[in-house]
Amino acid sequence: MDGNSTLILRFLSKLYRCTLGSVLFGIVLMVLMAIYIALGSGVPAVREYFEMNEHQFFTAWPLAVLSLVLVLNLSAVTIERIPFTPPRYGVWMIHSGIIVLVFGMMLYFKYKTEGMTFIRVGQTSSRYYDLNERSLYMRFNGIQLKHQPLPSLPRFKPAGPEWGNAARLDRKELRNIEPMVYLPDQATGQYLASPVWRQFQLPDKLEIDIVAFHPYATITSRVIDAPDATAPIIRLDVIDPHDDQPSTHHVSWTDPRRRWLGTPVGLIEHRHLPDDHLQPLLESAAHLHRLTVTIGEVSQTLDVQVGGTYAIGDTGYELTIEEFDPAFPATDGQIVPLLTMMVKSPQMQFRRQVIPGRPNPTDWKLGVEGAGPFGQRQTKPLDANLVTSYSLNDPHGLLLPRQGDHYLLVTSERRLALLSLPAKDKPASRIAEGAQIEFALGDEHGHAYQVTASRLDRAALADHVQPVPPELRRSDQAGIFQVLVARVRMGDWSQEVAVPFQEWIFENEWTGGQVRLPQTGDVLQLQLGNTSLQMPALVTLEKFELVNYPGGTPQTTNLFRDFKSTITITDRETGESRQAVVHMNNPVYFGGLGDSEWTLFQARFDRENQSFTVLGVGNRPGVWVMTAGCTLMVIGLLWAFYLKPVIIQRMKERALKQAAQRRPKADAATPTAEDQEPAVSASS
Amino acid sequence: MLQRFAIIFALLVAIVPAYSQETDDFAQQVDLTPLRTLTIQHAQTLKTLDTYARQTLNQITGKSTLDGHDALYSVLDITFQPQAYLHRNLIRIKNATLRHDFQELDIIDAEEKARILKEGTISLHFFLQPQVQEMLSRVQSSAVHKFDAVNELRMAAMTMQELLSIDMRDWPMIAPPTADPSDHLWRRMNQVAGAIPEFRASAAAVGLANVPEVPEYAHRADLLKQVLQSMVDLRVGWMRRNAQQVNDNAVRVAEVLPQINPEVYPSFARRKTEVLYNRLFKLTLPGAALYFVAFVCFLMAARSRVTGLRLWGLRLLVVGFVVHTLGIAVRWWLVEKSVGNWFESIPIKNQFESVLFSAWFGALLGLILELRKGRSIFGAAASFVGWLSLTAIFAAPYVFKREIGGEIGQVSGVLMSYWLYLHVTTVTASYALIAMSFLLGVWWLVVYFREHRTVSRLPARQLSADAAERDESAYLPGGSGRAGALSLSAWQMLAMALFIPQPKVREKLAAVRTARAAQPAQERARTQLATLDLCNLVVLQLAFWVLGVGIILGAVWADQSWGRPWGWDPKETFALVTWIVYLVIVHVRFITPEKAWWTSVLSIVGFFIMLFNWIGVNFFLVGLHSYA
Repeated sequence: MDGNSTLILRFLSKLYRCTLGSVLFGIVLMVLMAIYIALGSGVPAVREYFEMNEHQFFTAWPLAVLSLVLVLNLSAVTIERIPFTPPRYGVWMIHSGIIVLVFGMMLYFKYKTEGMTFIRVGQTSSRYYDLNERSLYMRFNGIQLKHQPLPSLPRFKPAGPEWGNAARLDRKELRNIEPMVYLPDQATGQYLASPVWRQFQLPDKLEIDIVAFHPYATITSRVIDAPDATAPIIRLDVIDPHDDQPSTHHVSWTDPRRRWLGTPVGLIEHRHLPDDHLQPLLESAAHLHRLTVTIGEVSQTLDVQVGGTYAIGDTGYELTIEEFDPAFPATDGQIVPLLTMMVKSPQMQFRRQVIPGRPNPTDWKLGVEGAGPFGQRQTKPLDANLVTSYSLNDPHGLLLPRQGDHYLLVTSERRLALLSLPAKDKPASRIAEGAQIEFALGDEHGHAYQVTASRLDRAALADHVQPVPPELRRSDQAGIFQVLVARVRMGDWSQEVAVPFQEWIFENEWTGGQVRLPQTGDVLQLQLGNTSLQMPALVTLEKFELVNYPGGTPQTTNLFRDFKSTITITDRETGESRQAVVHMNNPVYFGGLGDSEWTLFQARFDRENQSFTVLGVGNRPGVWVMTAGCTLMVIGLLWAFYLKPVIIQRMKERALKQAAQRRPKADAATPTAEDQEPAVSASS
Repeated sequence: MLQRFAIIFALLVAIVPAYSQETDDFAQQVDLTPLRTLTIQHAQTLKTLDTYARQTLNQITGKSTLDGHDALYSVLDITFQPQAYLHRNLIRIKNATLRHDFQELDIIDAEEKARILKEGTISLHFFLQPQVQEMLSRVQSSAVHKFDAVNELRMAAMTMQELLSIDMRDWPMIAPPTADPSDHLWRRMNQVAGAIPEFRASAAAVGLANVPEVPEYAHRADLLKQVLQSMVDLRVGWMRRNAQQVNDNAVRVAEVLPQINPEVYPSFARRKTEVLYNRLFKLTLPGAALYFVAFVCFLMAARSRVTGLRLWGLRLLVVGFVVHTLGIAVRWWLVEKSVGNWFESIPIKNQFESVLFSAWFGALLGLILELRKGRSIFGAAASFVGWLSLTAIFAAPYVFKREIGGEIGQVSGVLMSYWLYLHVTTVTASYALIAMSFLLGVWWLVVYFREHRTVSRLPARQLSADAAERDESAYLPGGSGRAGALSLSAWQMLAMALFIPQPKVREKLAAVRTARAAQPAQERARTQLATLDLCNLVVLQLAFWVLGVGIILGAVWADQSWGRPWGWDPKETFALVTWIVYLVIVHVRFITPEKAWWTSVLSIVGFFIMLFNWIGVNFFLVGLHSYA
């Protein structure tokens, strides 16, 4: 037994001497660390192969292990070989400094969180977006849902069936994502998450899978075959009058994004209805405006059209409907529909304007000197006999609160019809019907857009994700063009949708990523964004200023002297607030002990209008530990290189003096062994 | 030897004038000297017309002269006679691959295509052709690097186009009316001509009724009138090729313009200095030349121990250092007029300036070490760094065809900070020391391989700093080597360099020389190697801790500015890798007797890693840090 344990001990001690107890081993460790660091920084392809960003690569286990072993090696060698004497305090300080620094860095990178917050002038932000981590954000009919963090989402390489690595996305949090909505619990008042499908009584369980990822791509739309399509899509071939260039577009009622096509002279909308609803809709265009006219005892209810003239029985009154404005700003600030008509009675002629639901009209007297062609606005009705009551009769929602012409293409199972709903002074009319309709989107100046609308059955519009080739990628836009493809499932139904990235999820509008659920028609919108985290305080932006160099203005240059954000920081708990200015090289610290745990620094800005700022947010764990380690190192370095020879010199002088006093003992003058050790420093 | 030497000297210093062409009389008689020193505000900087013209011409043509005339003459001629330049092939396509894209155009013949490929220039008229524009738009959206290349060409063409459609009255040369810093935009003559009542009257007479009155310049109307009149007469004179008229009006403009607001207008001394500074290559070449000769002197002195050579080396090093310091001081002064205060004007904000400063630290430290320790070795290292750096910053724009910040301009606001004095100075100083250590490492290896047969049998430790003598008295017969009996003080050294006779020192040195000559070859080689290693050790120790401090200060600055002290940015990580190389050197010396060999090799490795960190990272790797 003894022989064995001696062998083991001898082996262990040899191992120790070759590794933890060896300076050469320490040097090898340093070289390995240097190579690891150089590779991680200098050869991005290596990092990207492992799908790690810089933070992840340098906090991964290899460097951590090397650092820990180096710390052990350093401690062992220092304790064993370097005596703790005044000349060597320097080396001890350096080595302890390194160990403290390494521990500080481990603390730092373990607890560090950083990100950015976007604040408009006058607004308050309580959240910031993590710099590295991403989440899937969802909205159901506009209601914000709980977001799903996606830590294992790839970063650099595309993933999905067309690259043959669909399995890369087979991770727990990328599959079977259930949209959840936060609702207050009746009993406790706390907000609890519950599944959307149950809360909104959808026919089946609603789930989402991430099926593809593109690090840098754009989203366009394309037409695909869809034998099960419940509604057709419409193909619009448009010829631009300015350059006679033809272009093709598609509109589809089932796709909430692509229901409309906007042109400079009007909006084209697609709707799809069952056959028996189509006719009533087309006919209702003629009955939008209902006017009940009472003159004395005669009362008549008319359905009027813009441009039409209507005689009221034998009263001799004639009404000509001149104009209809669907979005008129009334004097009380409200936006209301407004009908303008010219009234001709045997006695007089004047203009009248009526608003639905309001009994008192506004009359305009004609022919008043200096009043303008429209007439002079009256405070009381000009003709007490004439009582008009106006209501909008629009059960199909044809009149939109917007200005500009509106063309409605309506499809049913077999038909395609075009309804024109111009604004202002033309009547609504049914223009045409057929398998293909040609019409002109006009303006009076002769620049009419020639449009041909054709119906495409068994087709649908789908997202087309187009990866951008590397030579066209801008490195400063790297994250902005990330695209996910998500499959939304409900029972047997599923649809794939391309989900773009939005940098400021709660501050900016979302684009795309919408799916209309079958049967109910509810809209689910998805968006990829950085994970939103709570800031430890509330930050309000009071003002943002750009400071120019002499000779520069915001319009003429990209180089600025300074960016200043004047903010108010409010502590969440105490409610105390203070003002501060964040500008370049001048962060604001708040929170934690001594108000220095968190930092806010100026990151980006609104160049055009100075209407928003982007501040970087981060905590600073272990910063004081790292500072202590660095200070120790620096003092130690100076000691070891420059103080040590002085100390040794003084020790030698003292020894020589003592030797001179004790004359017989000549060997006391021999310098001690430690002073003959090869000195690193040789400067005098 | 001396002849060869003189030729090298001449080649380095000589400036071959390109002005050998004889041009017409007008160009010869025109004297634009008064105009050169006038101030114009451009790109948020106040610069002389001379500088502005040079930069503008360079942006368009890639050169600073045209037809043998200097930049200001050429630029003025372009503005006064645009019709002569519209069809001239002046706009340079700087990006070589872009020239190939011009080959696919079908509006030019094969000869023209070959010319474009070879000379790389096109005319503005050609640039504006729709087919060319269409081709450029297509190329621009085909790849990101093409985007930048096409943009560069567009900027050059736009500058040309602007020159063709303006004249002096469109240049911002009128100082703001008051000394109020918030009113900092300089005006164009055309903007303020409305302050002149006569001008308004004559404008009204031709039907231009809406000339603004510009009340803030009303009190200067008479001066403005003189300037406007002179500018117009100058133009007329130019177009009539009347050199006398041009010269007279140039003088008048130069006299009156500064009087409009003398408080704000930079002084004549400063403006004249700027013109001179640029003429003398920003004092890089003169400094480099002096450093080079000093370097050669020190190298020869170290080999042969001739004191005279060493003293000459010292003299030239000092003079070179003075020229170098002057270069920095003048630049600082010139930057100050655009920035407004001295503290923030320190010229250490871009690649050119950081190399300039780094060399200065290196030269200073080397000079001090040479004076204190005197081996010619430190002097050689110091002058090597000076020569290499100044030559590099002079030549880089020509060799690499890209700007490195030689022209004075504004920088991103984040660099206007006191941290420039703390972080940038320490890091660049350490880089200079690393360069010095590189030279010493190479030197050691050269001597080692040259004397290999002589010293190969000696134990390796004998060739290292451990066995080096502290001073030269060791070579005296009976000298202990450590008694310091013959240490030359720095003052004695300086005195000798300044030609102040030091007879006692001369004797001692003569004795040392004789003693050394009597040494056996092996001992001589050994001491040379040991001394070289000792000097390298001194330098790299300094480099090591200065770099360490610099990196730590950088972390403190990053914590303030970017919210994190260490983000594994490529600049940060490669600085750390450089530091680790020196960390390895320090420890390798403990464990092997071949310490000098390892030190020399690793010094060379460390130098190249440092170069990659300083320069390579800016061009190859993108990060937050890409300023200098």
